[in-house]
Amino acid sequence: MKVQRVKDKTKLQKYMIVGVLLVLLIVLTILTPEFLTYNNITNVLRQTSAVILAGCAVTLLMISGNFDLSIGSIMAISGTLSAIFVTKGMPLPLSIVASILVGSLIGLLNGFLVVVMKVPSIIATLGTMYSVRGVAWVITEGASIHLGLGKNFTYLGRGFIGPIPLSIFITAVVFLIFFFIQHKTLLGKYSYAIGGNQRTALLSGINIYRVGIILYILVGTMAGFSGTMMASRLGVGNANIGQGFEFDVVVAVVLGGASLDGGEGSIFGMVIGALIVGFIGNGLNLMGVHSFYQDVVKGIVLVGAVLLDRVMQSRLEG
Amino acid sequence: MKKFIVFISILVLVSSVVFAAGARETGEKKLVIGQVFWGLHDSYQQAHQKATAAYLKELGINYLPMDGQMKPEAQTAAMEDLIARGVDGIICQAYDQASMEISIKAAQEAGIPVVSFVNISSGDVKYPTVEISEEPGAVAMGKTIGKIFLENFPGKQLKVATISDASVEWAHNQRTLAFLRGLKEVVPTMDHIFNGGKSNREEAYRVMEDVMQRDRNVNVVFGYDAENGLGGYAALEAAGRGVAIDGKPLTEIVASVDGSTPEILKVADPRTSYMATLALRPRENARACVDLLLDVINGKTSMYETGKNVQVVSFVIDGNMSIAETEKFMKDEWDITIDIRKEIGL
Repeated sequence: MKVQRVKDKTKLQKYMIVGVLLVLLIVLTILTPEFLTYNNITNVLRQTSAVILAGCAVTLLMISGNFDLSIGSIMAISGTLSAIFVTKGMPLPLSIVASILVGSLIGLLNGFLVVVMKVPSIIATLGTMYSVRGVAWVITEGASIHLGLGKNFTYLGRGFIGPIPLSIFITAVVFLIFFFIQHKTLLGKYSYAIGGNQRTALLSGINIYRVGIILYILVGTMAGFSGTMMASRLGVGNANIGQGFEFDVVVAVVLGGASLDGGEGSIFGMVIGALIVGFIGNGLNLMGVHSFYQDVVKGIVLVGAVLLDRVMQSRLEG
Repeated sequence: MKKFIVFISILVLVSSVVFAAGARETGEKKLVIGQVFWGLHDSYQQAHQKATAAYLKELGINYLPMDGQMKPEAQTAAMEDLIARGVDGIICQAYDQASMEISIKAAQEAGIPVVSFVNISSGDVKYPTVEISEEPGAVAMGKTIGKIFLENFPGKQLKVATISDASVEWAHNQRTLAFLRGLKEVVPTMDHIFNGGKSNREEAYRVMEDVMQRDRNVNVVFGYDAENGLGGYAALEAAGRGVAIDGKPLTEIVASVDGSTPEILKVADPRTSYMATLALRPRENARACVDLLLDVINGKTSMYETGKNVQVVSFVIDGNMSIAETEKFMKDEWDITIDIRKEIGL
C-alpha cells in the first residue's frame, strides 16, 4: 500500500515538474522574444551542465539519505589542478583524468568520515568543503592559472560535435549512465533501500558501508569532472570557481523530488529541476531583472517545491 | 489524457513562438547595450549601474545590466546570455581577466563589440578599454596619509595594515601597492605588518580584529575598496578606536578607495580617524564607457582598438576639501543629494 503511494507520488511529481518547466518555457518565450533560440537554449544547457553532472551522483547520495557540501570545493580544486597539471607539461587527457581522480579521492575521504567514522554527513563534508577550498587557494597562491594552457584546454568546455556543444553531449551521456544506474542496477536499488530505512536495508543483507562509500566516491568523481569542465569552459584554473555550487545542485535535486530524509528522488527529476533553475536565471537575465531579485525567485521556487511536496504527501497519506 | 496534455502543451508552445516572433517584427528597433558588472553588491558598482541606466535612457537606448557576482562562471554565463540575446554592444568589467577575454572573443566573433571597464587587453584578445587612472591617486593618497601621520604621531613607528585581496591583481597593484609606495616616500621606515581580506565588509571586520589582536600598535589602516575600508573601520570603532578630536586622529589613520557616501561622510566628520578616500567617479566612468562603445558601434573606433583607451582620473577626498565641494562631488558623480552637516550631526 505504502509502496503504491510512493509510486503515485513520484509519478505525480514527474508530471508536475515537467508541467512547471513547460509553463516556464511558454511564459519566457512570450515575454522575451530572444529566449527561444537555438543559441540561447544551448547556452542554458551548457550553463546547467555542471549542475547536472554533479547532480546525477548527488541525487543517488541524497536518495540514500546522505549529503555532500564539499562539491563546490572539489570542483574548484579539480579545475585548478587540471590547469596546473597542463602547465607542468602533463598531456591534456591525462591531466583531466588525474584531476578527476583527485575528486574521487576526496569523495573517498568523505565516505570514510561519514560511513566508517560515523561523522554526520553535513559536518564531515562541511569540514572538507573548507579544507579543500583552502588547499585550492594555497596551491594557486590566490592567482588564476591561465598562462601556458594551450588552445586545446578549452575544448572540453567549449568544443562542439557538429552543431552540439561537447559539454551538452557529455552531460547527456552521463545522464543516461546514471539513469541506468538508478533504474537497472543494484547500486540504484540499494540507494533507495538505505534511504528508506537503513536498518531494514542492513538486515536484508545490503552492505550499506560499501554502498555509502561508493556513492561518495561517485559524487567526488562527478564534482571533479564538473570542475575540470568548468575550468576548460572558462579557460582558467581559479580557486574561486564553484562558490555556492553545492546549493545550486541541492536546489535542482530537491526540485526534482528528492526528500532530504532520503528514500525519494530521481535523476530525471533533478535534470528538470536544474533546467527550471537555469531557465529562470537566463530568462530573468534576458529581461534585465537585477540579480538580487533572481535570488529571491530562486528561494521562492525552492520553498514552493518543498511545500508542494508536503501537501502532496499529506493528501496521499490522508 | 497524457497525449492530450502533450498536444496542448506543444500547441501553446508553438503559438507562443509565433506570438513572440510577431512581436519582434512589429517592435521598434532600438539599440540594446548589455553590461556585465564585477559584482553589484558593491556601492560603487551600483552607482555606476545607476549612472549608465540614466545616461542610456537619455540617449533612448535599451539597457541590460547583469551581475557578475564576483564569480568567473557567473560572468561567463552573463556574457553568453547577452551574446544569445543579440545585443548591439557589451560593456564589461572582468573578475577574472583570462576567462572574460574568452567571452569577449566569443562576442566579437558574433559581431558584438565589447568595451572593457578597467581591464586592459592582455594582447591575445584585443578590445578598447575605459581605464580608471587610480595609481597616481593612490600614490598621492599614500603621501597625504604619510604627512598626516608625521604631523600627528611624531617619533612613532608607522605600522600599516592593508585590507586587500591580492588575487584581484589590478586592484591590489593599482590601489594597495601604489598607496604603500606613496606612504613609503614620506615615511621610509614604515612597517607593513599585514595584508589580507576580500571585498567583503564582514570579512574585513574579522581581519581587522585579528590585526589588532596581533599588534595593537597598528596605526595606519588601508582598505582597497569601500567594503574593506568601512569593515576595518567598524572593527576599530567596536574596539573603542577610530576616534579623532577636531580632525586630529588619536590612535590610527584610516584610508580607502571608492569614495562612496559612507566613506565620504566619515572623512568629512572631524570626530573620526577616517582621513581620506580615493574617489572613483561613477558618472564619469559610466558615460565614458557608453561613449566609447557608441564610437565602436558607429564605426568611429574599431572593436579591436587598443591604442585609444580612455582614462578617467580618480582623486583624493581628504580633510582639505570643503563640505560644499564634497556635496557637489556627490551630486555630480554619485547622483546623491546630501546635507553632510546634518548627516554627521555637526
